[in-house]
Amino acid sequence: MEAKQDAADVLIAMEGIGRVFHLSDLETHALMDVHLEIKKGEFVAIEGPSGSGKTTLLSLLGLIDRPTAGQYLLDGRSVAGLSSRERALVRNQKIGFIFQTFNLIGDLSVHDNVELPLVYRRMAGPERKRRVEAALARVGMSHRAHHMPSQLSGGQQQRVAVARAVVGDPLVILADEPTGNLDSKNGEAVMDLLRELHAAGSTICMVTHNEEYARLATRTIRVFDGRVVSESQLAA
Amino acid sequence: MDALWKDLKFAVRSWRRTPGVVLLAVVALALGIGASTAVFSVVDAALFRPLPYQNPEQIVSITVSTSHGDFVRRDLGPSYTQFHEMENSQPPSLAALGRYEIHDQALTTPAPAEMMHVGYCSVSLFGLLGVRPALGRPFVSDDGYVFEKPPRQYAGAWPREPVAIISHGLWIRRFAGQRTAIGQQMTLDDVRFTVIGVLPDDFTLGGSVDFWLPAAYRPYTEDTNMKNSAVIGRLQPGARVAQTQSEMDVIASRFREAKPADKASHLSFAAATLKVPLTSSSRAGLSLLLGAVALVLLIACANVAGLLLARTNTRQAEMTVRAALGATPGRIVRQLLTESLALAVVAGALGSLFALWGVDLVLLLLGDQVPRSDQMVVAFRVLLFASVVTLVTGVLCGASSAFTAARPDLHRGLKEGARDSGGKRTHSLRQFLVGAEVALSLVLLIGAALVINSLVHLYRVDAGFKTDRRLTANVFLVAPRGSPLKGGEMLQRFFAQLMPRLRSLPGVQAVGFIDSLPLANQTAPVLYELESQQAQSVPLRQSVADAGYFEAMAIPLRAGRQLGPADAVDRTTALVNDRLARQFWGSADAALGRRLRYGSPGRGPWVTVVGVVGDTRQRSLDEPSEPEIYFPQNAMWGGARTLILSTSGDPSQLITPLRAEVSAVNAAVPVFDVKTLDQVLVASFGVRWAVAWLLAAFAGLALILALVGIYGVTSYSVARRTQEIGVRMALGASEAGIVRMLMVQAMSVVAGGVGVGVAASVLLSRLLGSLLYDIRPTDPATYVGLAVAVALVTLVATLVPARRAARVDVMTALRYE
Repeated sequence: MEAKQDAADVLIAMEGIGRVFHLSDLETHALMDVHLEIKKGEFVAIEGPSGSGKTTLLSLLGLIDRPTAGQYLLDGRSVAGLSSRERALVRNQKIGFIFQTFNLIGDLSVHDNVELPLVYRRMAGPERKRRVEAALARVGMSHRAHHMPSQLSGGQQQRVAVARAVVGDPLVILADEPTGNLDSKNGEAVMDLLRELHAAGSTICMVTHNEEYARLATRTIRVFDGRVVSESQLAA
Repeated sequence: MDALWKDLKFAVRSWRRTPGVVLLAVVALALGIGASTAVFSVVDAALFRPLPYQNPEQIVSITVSTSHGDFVRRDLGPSYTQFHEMENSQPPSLAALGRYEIHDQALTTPAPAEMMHVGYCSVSLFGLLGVRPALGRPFVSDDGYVFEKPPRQYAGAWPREPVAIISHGLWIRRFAGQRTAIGQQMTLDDVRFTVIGVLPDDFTLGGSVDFWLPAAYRPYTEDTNMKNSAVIGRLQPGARVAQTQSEMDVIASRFREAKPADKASHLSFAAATLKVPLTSSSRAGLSLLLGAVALVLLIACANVAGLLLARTNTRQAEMTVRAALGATPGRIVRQLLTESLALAVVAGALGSLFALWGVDLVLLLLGDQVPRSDQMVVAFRVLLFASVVTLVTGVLCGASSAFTAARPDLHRGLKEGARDSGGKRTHSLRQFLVGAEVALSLVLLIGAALVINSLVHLYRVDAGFKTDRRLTANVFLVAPRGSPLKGGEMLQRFFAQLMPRLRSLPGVQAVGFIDSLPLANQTAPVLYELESQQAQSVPLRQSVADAGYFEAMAIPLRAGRQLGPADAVDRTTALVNDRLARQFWGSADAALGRRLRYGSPGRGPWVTVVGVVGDTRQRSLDEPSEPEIYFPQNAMWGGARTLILSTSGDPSQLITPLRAEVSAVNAAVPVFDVKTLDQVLVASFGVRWAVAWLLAAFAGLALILALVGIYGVTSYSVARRTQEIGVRMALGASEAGIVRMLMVQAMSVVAGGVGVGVAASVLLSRLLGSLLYDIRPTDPATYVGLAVAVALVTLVATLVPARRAARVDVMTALRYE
């Protein structure tokens, strides 16, 4: 009964995942035989040195890239056979992204940036408006809704990016070094936001270099040379 | 709809970020769309627009061909006798038959006197065409049928009151579009007609005819095959032109069996669907122009596609984020296509404005060289064309960037952040676009150069007379009805009074007249029999001219003497040209005293050659001189004459005095088609002149667009490689070495474009055939010269950004991005 419950709680399940890049005649094994499970509500940090494969792993988790080996189940469903269009729909509905470089669209206002995933979801206008306002309020950026990204500081931009990640109420938030381009004060503010999201029930998977921030996660996965070399459960 | 609106809003907002690129793209596309639309409106009116008749596809024209050995005459109108035979035969494939012939006559009242093209038609003609007057009533049988056989002229009173239907143009010109025009009287060559109807604005038949009259009132009684007449018919429902042709073949064979002359001339009839009459050079010229603007538009599209591709590459990060957030490939394509379409719509609107001016420009150049030039307007069909072109160009321009950006490399894109990650595929596409622009502009340049070179060659052709400082003007005079004088006698008296007055005008050196000016191709050759042991028939161009004509035109007398007043009396003497003299009698001197007579076999009186004059080009400069015979103005031949005044100064200064002198002699004589002889020469180039100018303009535009495109793409390419250039320089590359490297890379693309352009030009050059003179479509000098010129010009366009890139500060370059 407990095992059944555990299986139901598993949001992400990777088995034997590998990713090989071919550059000219050179074959690079970015990831090898990765087994990974992330349960609903977990806050997982992925740690590792540069080039270890952690961002590749996050790309595979976010359906941005395709594995060359292994099986990946997201929310109990294999994503291997999905077309580009279906993968885009899954990304839109089940995954929220936070990038190191914020990746806000410069020609869109803060409001429009946050609204974008809902536009792609073809959500009705009034519902979109309600959700965007709620998401911006959640990250404390309501007063900047009509500003352009260039008018915001780095920390503010990342908070907008967090709002964009959560506005669609995704199953999992994937954050790739979300504090990498921020000073310590703004970095901590963003981490506070992630912690609040986790406390509210969100599943978060974060790639980071920063051990201090990694300790804020409930579980840390260490990646080295394309392999998961260790896992540690931390106190929340 | 909401998403589309958002895409549009985003497109407009994003334009603000790169206003220069957007402006360039809009102007390039607008020029392409504007030029295409302007030329299409001309071609549409001349070639594509249906004739303004009911079910025009059912209307057939029936023409006559005759041949005497090599002397072949085609596309003549059937005579009255032939028409009657056709009517009486009641061809089963035809529901109705009609005939008309066009003559020039003078409208004398209401003043001022004006020359008119007058159509004499069977009263059923408009009913056959399914055309009703826009105002008034059509002809009815009581209005003056019937064609009489043999036709005859009414000497006294007409059997009924003569009635006329006038053109829309004449109605506006003479009656200011007033309904009261119906019932008004107008006098043509002393015959008074009552206006009973006004034709619709778009009606056209037989050229620009101002007056339509029942055939019974025709002033001439000739019953011959003429160029200015036509028989048309309406097919029975379901009947085909081939059936009509078979029926006409039977009728023609009856004529050949019954009449030895028709058998000798191999008389035949040809039935064909009625089309707008176009010369082969007009058709070729218009098709060429349409092709040329299509190339300009393609170049503009390639240009804008290159710009958008570069712009999209700088937006790779944005596209990656959009894809990461769940935008499907189709959604990204839609957004980018929306942007390019929005750009095209703005350009289309601007292009339509350009087209409005462009049509005026094209009309200015083409004049009346193409049919229905008066109906060349930016109408609904043209706007539809512009809209379709706009949409197609929008898709063409945006497609390359949209499909390139549709599937971004998310993994790499997100890792590299905002970097422009334009990959090898887009690089190749940009190179392809640049090569295509070079190739297309070279095709246009070579085409334009060949046509312009032809004009230069034509200009150098000796027409046989001098054209500078000479004024020409047409006058028309016929004898009033009931006058004891014949038309020729009227002209003799008129010229006897007019010529001394004109000679006394200040600056006038010589004055003369002729009935058909050279280069105008106004008359068709007729057969003459030369007196010899074996009676020989030759086609001759026959003219009426006075001695002053040869002096005013500076046409030399090769042998014998000029014609004098005595020659006009006995009508047994004539001049011939050098070509005739040399071809049949060996020399000019040998021609003196020889005799010839009209007809084949000859049936007129013998005429003796008393002088030989130099050759002139009658048809056009690109066709050789033909044998000619000149008669003096005699008492018989009336009609229109062209005055020629040779001056010591600006001939246009003589226009007003000339009109005044003609009016002083006879105020009822209209003076029309007043032109300098240089203008006549240019007009003889036909559509070639306008095509050459327009092609040159389009080729220039194409080259500018291509250069802008090459400059833009090269600038973008080297800007993307700033860091690489910095690294190369840090590693020891010299500034010259960097420039050389960039130039070699850019020029390899240009060289490819030049190669393809030359090959395409060779393939397409045969389309220029009828527009070229004295130059081969594959003239090596033109091809090599332009290929080198294009290569050099594009070299400059790539040199500027290459030099700028090579001057980059190494430290800055290494920190680039």
